Amino acid sequence: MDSFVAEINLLGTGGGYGESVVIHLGNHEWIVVDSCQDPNTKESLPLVFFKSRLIDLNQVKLIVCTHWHDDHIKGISTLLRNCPNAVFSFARANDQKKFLQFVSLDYEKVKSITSNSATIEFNQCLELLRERQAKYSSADRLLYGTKFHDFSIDVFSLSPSDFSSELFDHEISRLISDFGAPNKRLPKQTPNDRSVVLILKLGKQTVLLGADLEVHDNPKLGWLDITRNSQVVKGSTKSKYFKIPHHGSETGYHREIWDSMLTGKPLGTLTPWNRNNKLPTNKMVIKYGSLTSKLFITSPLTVSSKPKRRDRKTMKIIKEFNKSVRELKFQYGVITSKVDITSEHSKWSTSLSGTSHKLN
Amino acid sequence: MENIESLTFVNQTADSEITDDQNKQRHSNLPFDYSIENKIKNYLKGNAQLLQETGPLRDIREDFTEESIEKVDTPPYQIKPNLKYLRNYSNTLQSWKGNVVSIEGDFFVAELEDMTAGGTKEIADIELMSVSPDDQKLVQVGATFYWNIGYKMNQGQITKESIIRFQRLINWDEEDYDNAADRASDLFDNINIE
Repeated sequence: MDSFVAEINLLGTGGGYGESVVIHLGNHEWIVVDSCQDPNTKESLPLVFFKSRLIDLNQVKLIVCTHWHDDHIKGISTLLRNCPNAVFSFARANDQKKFLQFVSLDYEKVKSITSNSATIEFNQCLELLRERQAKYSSADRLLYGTKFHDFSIDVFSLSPSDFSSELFDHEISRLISDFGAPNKRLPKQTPNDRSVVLILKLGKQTVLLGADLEVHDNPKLGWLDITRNSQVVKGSTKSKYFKIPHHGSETGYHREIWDSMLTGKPLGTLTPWNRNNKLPTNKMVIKYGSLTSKLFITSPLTVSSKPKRRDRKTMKIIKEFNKSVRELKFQYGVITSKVDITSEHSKWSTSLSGTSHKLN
Repeated sequence: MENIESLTFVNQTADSEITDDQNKQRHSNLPFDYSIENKIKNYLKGNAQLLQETGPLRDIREDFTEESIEKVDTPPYQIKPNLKYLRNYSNTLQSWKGNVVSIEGDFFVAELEDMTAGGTKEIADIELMSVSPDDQKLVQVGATFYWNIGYKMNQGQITKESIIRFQRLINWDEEDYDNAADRASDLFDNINIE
């Protein structure tokens, strides 16, 4: 690996099994944003990626959990355990003690009844942090920085906003007081407002990774807080690479993002969401296609509606009771994009593997 | 087919345990024959044997009344009950752990984790009617349920069955809260989050 070439690998799956971004910052240093698993082998896909490339796991410096959803966190504790020098970062909580009490309550409640939930993954990471360093992600926060040959490498978080953290504190208090009731558990779909957006300053190149952050009516939340208030954004060159937020949904789009943070026509990458509601919609594919120089997706937009393969007897009886049971097929693709970080005029080059393909 | 074979096996086991001096009732699903004709037949047979041992023969049919039938308390066939045969059981072919994704009028959409073979997940539209009335109040977005499909053996009859049971989480007591609070304090003291 060339020390002066940054490489962004977007690992994504069809069927909603998750996504992960594995990044070579330059100088043989790597970071990982989120994790997902192969449902058949249960292996952490970023870890499989590192092993397939024979990359020294000691060179992984940072692992960021953008938010606590199944499709972003599966396998992250295994990844963290295998990367001994990695700092773990996740969205800030103002009241740390209350936050830990909350996650411990949820952990105690679900650990006896489930084997592999986001709660368990996150709590396993917390256990590893007894011997590891951790850093909260929040607006305009430097998570990792280094220098080599006069080139700076900086990884900043741009969210969650202060107001979002404040709201989260109130939400924790409410959830803790509600917690004793039967059938109450941590809501699976916590707001994407707390998702961690990253800006990477890699020598003379800038990269924007949108996580699942959405646009909110309240400008103190979501993307508008970043576009209007971030000092890091104001001091950065515009990004030529954009990992489009929230599977290319309409709620992840706002003109201000494209005007204030991105070059005229950046390279766009995204992962689909095709479990129940399908993302991105055709309308947004056309929209993002027109805004980007090239737009890539890790797997097809539509998934097969066929049932899962089983022995004939079982398939027959399932069909007799419910004809609608269909498989969420695992389709895995990687979009690899590289750029020379020594020049601001360098162009990104992209190669595709697995089910990934170009949309425009 | 496999289940039908297993039913045959159970019947054969039951039959083999009927003693030789008793008539085997191979074509009935009932292990004991309580029909009136059978009771009469056995009453006559029993009385004939008794009289043969204790006194001269006479027409015992004159003794027969409806009341006397009630006095017969010996079952006609001395079958040693076979638990395998009498037991009701289910043969589950497929199990899922489901999670309610959305509720759409008279059905809900669920994501299913394959508990039988693992691997990829599935998704299904499930009618609310297929959930028991007691569990229907538990159907809400995020709720967890278990779904089993298979065969059921009931008194020797095989039927296909589909059972959906929604999970009821335990109530918490003070000790549970204390345990979680202790762990939180321990983590707070021992992890370093900047």
